[in-house]
Amino acid sequence: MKVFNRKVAVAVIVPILALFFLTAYKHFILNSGLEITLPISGYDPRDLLSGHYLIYRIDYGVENICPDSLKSGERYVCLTDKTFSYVEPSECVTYIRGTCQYSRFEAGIEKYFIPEAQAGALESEVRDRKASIVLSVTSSGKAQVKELLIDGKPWRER
Amino acid sequence: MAKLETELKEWVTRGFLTEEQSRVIQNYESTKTSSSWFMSGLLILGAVIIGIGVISVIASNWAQIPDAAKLFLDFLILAILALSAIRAERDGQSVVFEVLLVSLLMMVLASIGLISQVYNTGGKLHQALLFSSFITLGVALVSRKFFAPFLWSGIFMAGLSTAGFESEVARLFFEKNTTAILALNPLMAAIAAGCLARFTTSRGLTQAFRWWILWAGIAVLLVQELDSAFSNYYSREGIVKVLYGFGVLIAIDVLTCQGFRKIQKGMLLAVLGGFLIACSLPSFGLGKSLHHGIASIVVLSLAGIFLASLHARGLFQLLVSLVGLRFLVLYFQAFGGLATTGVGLIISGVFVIGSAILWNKYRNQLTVWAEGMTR
Repeated sequence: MKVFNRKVAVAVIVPILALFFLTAYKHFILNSGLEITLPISGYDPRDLLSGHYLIYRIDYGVENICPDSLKSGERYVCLTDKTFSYVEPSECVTYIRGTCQYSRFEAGIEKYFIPEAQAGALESEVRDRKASIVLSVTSSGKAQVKELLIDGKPWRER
Repeated sequence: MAKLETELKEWVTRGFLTEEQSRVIQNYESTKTSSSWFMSGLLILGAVIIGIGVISVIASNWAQIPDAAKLFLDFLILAILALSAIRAERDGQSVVFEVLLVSLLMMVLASIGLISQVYNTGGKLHQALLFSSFITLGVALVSRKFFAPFLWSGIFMAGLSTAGFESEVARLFFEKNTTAILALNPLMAAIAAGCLARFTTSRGLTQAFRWWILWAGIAVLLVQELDSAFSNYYSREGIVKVLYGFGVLIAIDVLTCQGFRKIQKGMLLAVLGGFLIACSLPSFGLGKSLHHGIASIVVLSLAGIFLASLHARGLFQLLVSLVGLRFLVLYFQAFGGLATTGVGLIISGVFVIGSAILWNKYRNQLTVWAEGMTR
């Protein structure tokens, strides 16, 4: 009886397991965090791997965000008292962890994927009307996008 | 087959072969199956096209299907590919095994795109490419042919290159300087090939990275020449330090490597040194197009002689052709004014024809000479 090669089995199963854990991790953040809604404004470029998405700027309502773009490392935006800090805030109840890129605070939540056919219409609606995103934020400051709202309603129901 | 028949007829006419020997060769060749590399190539090309198709379907965001169903289908395809690959390897179906590995590599990329789409992750392209190559390294290592390692190394190199543009750390050194980021490609491929040759038994992946060293190196020389011609090239101390840092690592690898003779090591170090100098010419106040041309000729010639010492005749002749072509361009650069006149054009034409005749006549002698140089 022919036996299968263990090295081959490990090599082809490891990527599937890694992708499974990535999916599970994303799913966990999405469903376990605190729900927060923030206003956005944006535009629509094209991504090589994942099709159409909206890229937007999030209005955290924080003054003087990312004042020094040359310093690298993690930055924090406290949503409770609307402050920006270089160290993890110990007093803040809800904060988002991110980095400063070209004087902009980025937390990996600046994209929302949308169907190709509706990309153009959604882009102009985000530009012309009141758009916001619903986030799920964990206690460690990891945030993930849950929903895109146009005039306070989910974009699919607009 | 038609070409072989013609050649056999000619060899029989010239008395190299008898009629009987010619018939035996013809019979043997006709019973051989069509070349397996061609068959594998077609199958793998098909797998890559299907993979790109899957990525495109995902990229168009198939809104009608619920996210959970999309993810389930995706993992189902991944599992089928993995199990089929294990089975094909067990049954000794080498071509099918390779096709399945290539398909799995493409499907992992597509899956990252899908997860990114479903969960709206804000990750960058380089993160997706590097994550994909990190989790599929084993797939490239267990491959017994060139295709899967070649695709894997392409994804990895593309990930590193895009990281040069996108990552915060790389931005501090490169400031999105395309030429500098490209210049790192052959150096990183050399480090990868050195590590693989030292620490693994994977010939396919080592070969794939060696392929990258050569072609990325030629591409870098070409881009630098174009950059210098259009005056876009600029050198920064930070970039030069990074390039030379990589160069030191490669030099250590070359010097401690067991696989080459002393003279071959010397030749490799000369290629490396020439390449680094070619990449940092503006730092020496030599950023003109002519300087880059001379540097390219020197680097390509040294690389050609090194390849000849490995008996890679095809690659040696290709590099010599490139050197010849560059000489021709150099001639026009140096005597551009003269070339525009009637006499200049006649001289240029004679130069082109003379070069072609000389190359055709002395090609083999040159190869033998180059091979002998490193003995």
